[in-house]
Amino acid sequence: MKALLSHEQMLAHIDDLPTLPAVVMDLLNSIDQEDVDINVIAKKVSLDQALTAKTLRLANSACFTKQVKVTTIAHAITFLGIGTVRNLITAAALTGCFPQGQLKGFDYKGFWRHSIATASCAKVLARHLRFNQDYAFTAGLLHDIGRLVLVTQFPEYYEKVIAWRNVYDSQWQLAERTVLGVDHIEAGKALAAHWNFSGTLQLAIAGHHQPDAPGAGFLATLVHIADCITHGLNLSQVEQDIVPPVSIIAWNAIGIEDAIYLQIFDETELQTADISRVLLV
Amino acid sequence: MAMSHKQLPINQVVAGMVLGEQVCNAAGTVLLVPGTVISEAILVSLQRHQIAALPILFEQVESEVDQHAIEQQCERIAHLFRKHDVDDASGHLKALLLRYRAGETA
Repeated sequence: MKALLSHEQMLAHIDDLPTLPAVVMDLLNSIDQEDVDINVIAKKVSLDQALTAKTLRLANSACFTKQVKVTTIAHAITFLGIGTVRNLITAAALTGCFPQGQLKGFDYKGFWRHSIATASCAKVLARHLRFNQDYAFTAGLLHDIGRLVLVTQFPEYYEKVIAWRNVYDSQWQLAERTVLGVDHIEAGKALAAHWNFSGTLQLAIAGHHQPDAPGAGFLATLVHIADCITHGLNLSQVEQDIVPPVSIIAWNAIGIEDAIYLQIFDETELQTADISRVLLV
Repeated sequence: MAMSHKQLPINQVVAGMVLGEQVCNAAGTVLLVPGTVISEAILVSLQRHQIAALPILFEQVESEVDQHAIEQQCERIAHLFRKHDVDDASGHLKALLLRYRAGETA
């Protein structure tokens, strides 16, 4: 089969992709900074009414606030902390920034359900491993973003990927490589670079299917395991879904006890349900 | 054995049954507290208050419906892992998910 796309053709279309609101970019690039100016962020986010409304609805959903109802972004940051609010803003902005429905055969809701679930699971795993939870959440949310790049830029071609995959019942990566010649890992890497994501995030997106490749980094390992768990928990609710092969090296590197995993499954399901209820209406 | 309660129409309630929840009258005043053992006298008095049903405590038996749901979820896991045979880590994750779906908690 002759591949439909070259890497260069894919790259040439990256510029046409939606851009994230500037404040979201700022937030993503300040994950490891403790001294972000809360007032500046609150003010910038508040200028975007849709983003503010969505973020506040998320902040008031059950898994974040129990007693206090937050009414402004600044208020949310005070109660939930900048880390959590950053995650909520990112999730709210990302899920709204790609056009939906261009490709009838693509399950956009299923895609986001899986992304949100992976973000939740990665965050829960990170807490148990004392790893940066914000990085984990964001990387989980973005790990498959390359699929959306391909679907948005090349809907006619991606339709053929879906058809091929339905026949061969394969992993998406194999279907994309066979039909397009380019896969969602490459597209995700290209977008992450285009959006100026930090090196850590770029590596995690690039390495989530091959976390044992040299230099992939621990975040790739974390997202890989979170990805496999959420597929196994059936959180995308996509009929033909399939669990990717779990890397034994990644599994051992995470090294969590069986009993803790049962707890992690439970927390992941609860958080995913909460976030999805707000973002995927 | 896990205990639960369900609303039972008052004509099916007999003396000796135990309340799983408090019972209030229309105005919200508590008439009976959880754990009360129903007597004939209580039944007569409840009729005056026009109470139609009572939250009766019963032992929770794992219903066939629950069992069926668990089986379906386990089948779904088998389907999701259809491309894996003996791989160590995938097999480990699959086994954990099956335990989780069967109701095991940490």
